[in-house]
Amino acid sequence: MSYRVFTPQDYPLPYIIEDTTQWPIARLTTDSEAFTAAVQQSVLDKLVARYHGSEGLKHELERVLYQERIRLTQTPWKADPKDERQFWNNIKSRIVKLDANAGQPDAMTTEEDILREIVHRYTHEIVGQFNPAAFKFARGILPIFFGRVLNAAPGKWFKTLSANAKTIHEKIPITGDIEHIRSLARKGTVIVVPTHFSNMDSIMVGWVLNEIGLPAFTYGAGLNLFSIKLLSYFMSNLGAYKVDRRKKNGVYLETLKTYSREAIERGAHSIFFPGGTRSRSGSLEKRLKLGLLGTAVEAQKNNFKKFPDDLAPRVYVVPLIINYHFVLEAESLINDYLKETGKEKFIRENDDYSTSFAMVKFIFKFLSASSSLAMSFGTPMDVLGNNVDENGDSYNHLSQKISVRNYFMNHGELTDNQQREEEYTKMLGEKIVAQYFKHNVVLTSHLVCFCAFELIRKKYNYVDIFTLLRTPAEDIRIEEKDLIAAIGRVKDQLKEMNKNNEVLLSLELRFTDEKVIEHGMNNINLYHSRSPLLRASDGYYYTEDLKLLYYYHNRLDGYKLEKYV
Amino acid sequence: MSEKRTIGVIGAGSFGSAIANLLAENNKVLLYERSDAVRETILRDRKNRNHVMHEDIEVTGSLEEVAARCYLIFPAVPSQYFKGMIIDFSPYLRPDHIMIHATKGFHCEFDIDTMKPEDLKLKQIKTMSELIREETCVVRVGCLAGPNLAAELAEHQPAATVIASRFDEVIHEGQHALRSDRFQVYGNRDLLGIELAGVLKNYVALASGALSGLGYGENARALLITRGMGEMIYIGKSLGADKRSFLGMAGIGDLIATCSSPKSRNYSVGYRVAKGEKLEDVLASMTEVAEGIRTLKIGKLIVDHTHANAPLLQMLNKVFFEGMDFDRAIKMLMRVHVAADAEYLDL
Repeated sequence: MSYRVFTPQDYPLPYIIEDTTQWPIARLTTDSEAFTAAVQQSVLDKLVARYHGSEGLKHELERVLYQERIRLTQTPWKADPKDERQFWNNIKSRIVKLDANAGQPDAMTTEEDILREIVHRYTHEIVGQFNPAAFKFARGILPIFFGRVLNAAPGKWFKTLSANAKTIHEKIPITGDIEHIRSLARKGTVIVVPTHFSNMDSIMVGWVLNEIGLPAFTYGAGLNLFSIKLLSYFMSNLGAYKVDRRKKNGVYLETLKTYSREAIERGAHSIFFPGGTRSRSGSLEKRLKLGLLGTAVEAQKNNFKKFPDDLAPRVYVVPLIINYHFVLEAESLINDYLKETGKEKFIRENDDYSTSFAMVKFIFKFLSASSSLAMSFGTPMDVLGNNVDENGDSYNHLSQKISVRNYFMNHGELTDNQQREEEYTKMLGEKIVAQYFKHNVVLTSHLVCFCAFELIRKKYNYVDIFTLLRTPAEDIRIEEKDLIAAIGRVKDQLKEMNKNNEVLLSLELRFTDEKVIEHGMNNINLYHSRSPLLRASDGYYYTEDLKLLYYYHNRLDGYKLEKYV
Repeated sequence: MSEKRTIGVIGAGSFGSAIANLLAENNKVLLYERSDAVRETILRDRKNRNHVMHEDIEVTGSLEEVAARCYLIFPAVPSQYFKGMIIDFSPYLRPDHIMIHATKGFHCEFDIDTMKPEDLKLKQIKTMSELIREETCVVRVGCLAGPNLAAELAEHQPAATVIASRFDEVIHEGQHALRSDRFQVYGNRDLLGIELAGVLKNYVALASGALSGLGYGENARALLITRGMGEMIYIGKSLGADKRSFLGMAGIGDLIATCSSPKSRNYSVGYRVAKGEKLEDVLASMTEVAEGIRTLKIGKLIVDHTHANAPLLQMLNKVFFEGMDFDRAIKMLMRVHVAADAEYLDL
């Protein structure tokens, strides 16, 4: 890899567009009315065309109503508007009237009218805005907050004043071809697709994109987060749009996707968490949720429809891998995972952090305890997963220069084909997953937990994973020499894979095996009250929480390293 | 329909010629053939390997011309030559090309005679669609397979085939181009399954020919076809295919045709070997490739690696390459522990 490497002192990089009011996301807000109108019209057109001339549209409306009424009674949230019940009761009575009026040409209401009203409501609920003034305010205040919190051990705020405190950039290395990403953001729309392990991710992603000087990105934030006043203020003014994970009805999902697609077509750089929710098992996402990702593919095609080839704005996809030594929510995540795999399918969509205080406490704990984490950008791609050079041109795996427009052509004409685009989205998803593995930075804590857990699994190879995880932790111990030997072997294999560009390694992995264990353990035990791994005075290693050890071990799942332990 | 489209066909072998003729009923056809002599014969006589060539078929020796003039292309080149062809073709291809291949064989990245199953990586065995994806920028790829004995197609007898692709668009394009009053075209999204069905049926056809050569009748053949299909499902499942693909036109359909017809190349190889001819002599006397022999060797590597249940394949390998005699092989097969009937449907 030969590209410009920035030192910690270089950050934050200057914005690629100086004037924040000229940022694509700011222009989206200026044109807000035209934008939301376009979204609504597009959803209407699509749904009406889908159910053209059948009873389908009415049935769809009935399904939406049914699901919304269930949501209202079963999972009400504080963030819900007060008039919800009234709105849906009104929709209900109008749907009922449809039957009475059936067949009358001068009927007062049609299915389309009702649909329009629902889509209108959804669009206005989803829509985000960008306020340059709020952004300036945030830009001024957040680094101070960040800097303080990062450097302060709890209760030692004064330490942040000390001159030799590490800067945030020394604590959080940013890797990847940053110049390349910056130049693409000048030419087209960038979609950043990060891994998702923690609630901290959206904050970290927002931070890193700002540090590398990109204009603000739009992204879908859980509606529940908007009930936290402090967060809500920043999010709703910094371009976040609202996503309600409880609403799974067809009309809502279509509105959400259309919103995202229109924003991309209008040049708004976007963030998708393609894994959907946080990784429950702690392993890298292997299967992606393709819904929102598909809007990038569709937006690219629409751009080709609207412009001749060399003028059509391009859409670029950039994976981002975030590595934490530890994840605050690890305990509840792995429990969810075990419940899920244990066939307890229903996971409650909860609204943790329901107050500003809880949220700040969470962020504070995270940043103050965090010794280091790594943010690693992958290689920019087009919407088909081809690599893209600095000029924005696509090259396939054989280094042939490719016209992306051609992927959407049939017999010389640009054609719409939803099933084709779904397949393209799957292909893109596969490329993103491959990049997650390739640009994942192996931290000492991951390596240590992986080896320790695999040693335990080997020893108890006669029981299944669930039985093993229920084994009393005090019965389990690992000999030091076994652990050191395993770390040595896995490290050698990782180095080999690193040479072949299959994975990245953190600097600490160059330590001796003993030091690696110490560094990894120290980092992981910083936060958890029950240590995933610790060394007792008798020289053996023990765990106080086998499930947590399993969770961190999973981060190296999928690399086929098991046989080296 | 407005102006007729020009469809490309790569390879003027027996099957390539048959496809070109089928396509020429609805379209203009540009047929690529690398041999000068064959091209001249076609131009001079309008005939090739027992096929009378339709007048709307143009012949070319330039892959570049095919890429420039055709959006839809049907490669029909034997599996050993497929990679060389596709590498030569690659510089001219674009993502707006659609390819539907008709090659029923595997490509191997190693020498199949010296490879040991323990050293095998499954990735080194490729279907033709995988080769196209790896060696070109074409993504809209499909395959064509089914009971399509070239000789019967040449006589304009009624028949059907299946086109498989992850892309509905590819299936529709293929159907649009090939469909006629006496040619039905089914669609299937399980590309891998249909490719495997097309390849694996080759060794069952070898066995069917051998049964006839030994003088056995239809009971034995029915046993062979039914269990052969079951075995194909076991192998197909172990490689990630959908079992239903083996119950359609390219699976059971093609099995019935190739296992019943002396016109099938694989069938005649099995027949002649069972009659006492040496395998080498039989192969040397044939003008076209019998994929079944390669499929036997590659299939054995696969099942030794995946441990798929395939007694027929194992026995055929013993008979054709290790000198076991047919009677002993049949005795051993008849002693295989039998499970419940049609148990492969529960896989």
